Amino acid sequence: MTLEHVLLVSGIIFAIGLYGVLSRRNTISLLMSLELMFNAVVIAAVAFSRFTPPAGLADGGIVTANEVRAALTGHVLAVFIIAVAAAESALALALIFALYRTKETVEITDVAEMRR
Amino acid sequence: MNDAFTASGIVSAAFWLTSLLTIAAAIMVVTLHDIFKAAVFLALSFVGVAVIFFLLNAEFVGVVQILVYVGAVSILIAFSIMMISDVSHGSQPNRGRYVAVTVSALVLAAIAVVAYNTNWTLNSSLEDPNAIAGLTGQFLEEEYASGDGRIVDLYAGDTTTAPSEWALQRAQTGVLADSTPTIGGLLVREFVLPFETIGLVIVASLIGGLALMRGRRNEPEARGGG
Amino acid sequence: MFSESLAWLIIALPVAAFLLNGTVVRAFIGTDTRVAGWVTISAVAGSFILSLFALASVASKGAAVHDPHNWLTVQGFDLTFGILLDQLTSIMFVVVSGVSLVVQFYSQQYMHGDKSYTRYYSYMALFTASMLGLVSARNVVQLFVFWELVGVSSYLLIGFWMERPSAAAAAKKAFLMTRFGDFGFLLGILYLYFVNPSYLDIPTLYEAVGAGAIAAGVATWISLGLFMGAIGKSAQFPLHSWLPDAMEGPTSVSALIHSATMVTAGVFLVARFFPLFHASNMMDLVVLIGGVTAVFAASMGLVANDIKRVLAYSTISQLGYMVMALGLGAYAPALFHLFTHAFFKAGLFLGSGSVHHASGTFNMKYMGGLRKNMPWTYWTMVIGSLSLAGIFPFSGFWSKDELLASAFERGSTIGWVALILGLTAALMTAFYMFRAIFLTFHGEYKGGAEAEAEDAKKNNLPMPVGLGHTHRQESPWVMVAPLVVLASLAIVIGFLVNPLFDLGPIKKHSFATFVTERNVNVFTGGHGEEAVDDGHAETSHLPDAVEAGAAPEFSLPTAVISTVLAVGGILLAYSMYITGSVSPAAMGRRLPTVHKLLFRKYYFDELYEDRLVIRVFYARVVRFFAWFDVSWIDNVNVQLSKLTANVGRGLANVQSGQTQTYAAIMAIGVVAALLALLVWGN
Repeated sequence: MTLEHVLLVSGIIFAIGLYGVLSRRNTISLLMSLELMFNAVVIAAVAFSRFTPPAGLADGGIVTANEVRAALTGHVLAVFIIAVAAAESALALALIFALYRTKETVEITDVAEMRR
Repeated sequence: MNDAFTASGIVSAAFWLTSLLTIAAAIMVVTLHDIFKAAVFLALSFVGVAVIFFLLNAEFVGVVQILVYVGAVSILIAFSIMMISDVSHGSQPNRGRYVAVTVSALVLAAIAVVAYNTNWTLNSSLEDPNAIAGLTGQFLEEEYASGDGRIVDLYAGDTTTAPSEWALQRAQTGVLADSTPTIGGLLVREFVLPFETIGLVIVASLIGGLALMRGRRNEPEARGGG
Repeated sequence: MFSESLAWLIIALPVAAFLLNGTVVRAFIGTDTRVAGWVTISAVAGSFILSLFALASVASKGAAVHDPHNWLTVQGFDLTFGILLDQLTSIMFVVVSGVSLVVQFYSQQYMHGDKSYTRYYSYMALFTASMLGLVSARNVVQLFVFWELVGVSSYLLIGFWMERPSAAAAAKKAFLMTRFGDFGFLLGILYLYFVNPSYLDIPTLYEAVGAGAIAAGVATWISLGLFMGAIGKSAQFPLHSWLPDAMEGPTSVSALIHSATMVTAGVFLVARFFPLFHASNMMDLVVLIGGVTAVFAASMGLVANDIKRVLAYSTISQLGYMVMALGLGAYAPALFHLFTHAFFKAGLFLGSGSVHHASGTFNMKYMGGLRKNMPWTYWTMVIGSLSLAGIFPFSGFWSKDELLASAFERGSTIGWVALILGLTAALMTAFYMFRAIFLTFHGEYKGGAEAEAEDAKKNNLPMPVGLGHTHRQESPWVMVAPLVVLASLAIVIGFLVNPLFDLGPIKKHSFATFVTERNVNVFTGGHGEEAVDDGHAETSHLPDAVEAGAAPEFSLPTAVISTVLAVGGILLAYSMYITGSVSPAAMGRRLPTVHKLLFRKYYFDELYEDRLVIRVFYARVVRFFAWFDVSWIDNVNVQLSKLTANVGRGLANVQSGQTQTYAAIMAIGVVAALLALLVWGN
């Protein structure tokens, strides 16, 4: 397990998610694919945190506690992404409900509002 | 090379296994026509991702993943599917699936090329013993070896406490220092502003979601009046 | 020495008046306020006083050659500008600002009540400033800039009453025809630059010519270009036809154009580059153009009915004299004639304006008998006419006689040709000027503007433009005073400035001596600096000065012949229009072809407008460009718009509103960006 391997796995999941976003018609499927893409990104963030040193450490010089703590920035980023994704999914589901109520459909191909 | 950062054989094996499982589950999510089954596989892939986080020494993120995704988002999606009667149609692919495959493959290729062609600066290339010690929790290893046995609480600065048995073990096996307190410290010190902002975002989305959901409820009354 | 900043001030004062009138006065005081007149008059008066000082300084201390200033520096080439205050410039300064001052003063009454009074005075200030800048320019490019400014301001003034179509057309005609000559001027400048960029500096050019650094062939081509500009500006044959039409402007503008500013610019140009012309092979061409123009224009003046047109033809004719004299190498007589002509011609024009004030028309057929009503105008115009006709002792006599004497002295074929042409023109001049005087002031009054309007109505002719009201009385003193001033100058200035013998403090031929022998810059190469330093011109090594510059000795035979011819012309006019012993109508009948040819101005307007413009320019050139415009330029536009429309239609398909299509395109864009980063990023 090296950084490249983890990134590869992350990329595969991302691509699968993208495929889902591009190919499914059901908006809930779309949302699920989107969550997969989010997860792939979080994996990449954590992987970088695990395998690469913070800039301060790689540069050499005196090691300080701040530089060591910076090694976990990737984790913090991951937490933020998860939080945003959760908020997004809640909102997206609400939108899907709204769409379903107004258009009696959840198929994204039936919605072409952006043409106007 | 510094062996302190390379994963052991068992960890690698577990990683590959979990990855395969997760990828398979993900494929099921995007291909299954039965949307409810897709949601179940989504939950499975969330769990797989959480396992990957654990294997990457990110226990806190892994726990959050399980709590938020497996525990909340999956359930939310499942409820949504149940509340929308349309799901009997299943989730049909649209006409552009070959385009979608191509585009996804292109993106994957791009990611792979970048991942493999970039000369990453890796932890294992670090040579400064203090830096290695800091990252692996083996801070002041010599003193530790000499019986002082200090492991530095990263927020306590120079104040030292006797390491717990667990911390000692982690230090010896060469993984990152205990991450959860550090992340907690980061969230309320360095990243306090984004942290608060995220809170605002969540509240906003909550209110927005509520507004969207009850937006129609007033209308029948209005209509009834007319 | 006259300081450089004072010299700049001469130009800057009218410029300031122009700006002040054009902005502050016009915007805040009014478009027809008398203030505008006072602003311009005081500025021009300041220029005039400074010009007198400049003349005095040059006369006592010699030419002031101020160092040039850098204007543009382009890759080692310095375009400079500066003041060249030599004898020629100082005289032109006085003439231009003096005549302009008189005209501005006169205009106060003449333009009184015009709704664009402020605009008139701002243009007049610009016109004066341009001309003052033109005569003092040190660099050819600088000269050209002012040259064009003169063209622009004359355009604005000729078309001053732009609500009249004929005025707009006349302004356009004047501008285009002079532009045609300017094209040659510009080519000449370019060739001069091509020969040596430093020659654009006029003193440097003088030195080079003096040192024989410019070959005759090169000088010929450059002079030809410059001469084209002069032909256009001075309305010489064959670019003469704009000047009679320029009468559409206010009469006071005509007075300024004809005497001091616009048309003398061409003569000034030839005088300014006189050494170059002298070194070239085209002096004989200059003589021929000038001589032919003198006779040609005078002949058209014989039959013109519009008093201003008569004066216009006389101007062209007199300018022809000057050009002819320059071609003969008679530098001083030409400038002398320019000098005297400026005053009496301005007087004549202002007089015709005064006549118009009384009769409301310029058509001499409807005048007559005005002598009793307006004695001041009558007598001043008679003096001007006598001077123009070259009658002893008026100023025109002295200058014209010098011209003819120099032709006589020159001898050889070209000299005789010039003499004959000059004498013929002198005869015609005397005739048509007195024809104008007799028709205007003698005989019965024929009704003025009202009669003309009635006739036009009766004969179903188009109503003549610019008719005023008839009130037969002398013009107010504001208009008469300038006439008196100019007329008295016309009497005395010819003799006082350039007497035949020592006249107290005024030495014999002082004017000619001043412009030539002391004008070391023109007549020597490279000795100007020394001359400035010690204040005395060196006349010893001036090979050309004797031949070219010095005034010819008074020649009794030419003087007698020209006077006899002039008196003959006057008598002929008298017998035709006063006693009636020779009937003009009968003469017109006996020589119908000639009369018609003259009356139709040798069909030059037809040649230019029908043949050249319509048949050649419109039918061929314009049609070609129209074709090119439609099938190429427009077509490119059409094709481009079609392309745009097609691209737009194609892109409209992309915008389907399908979110997933957008997402796919975005993903492709991300991949492309990533690829670009990988390929070119490092």
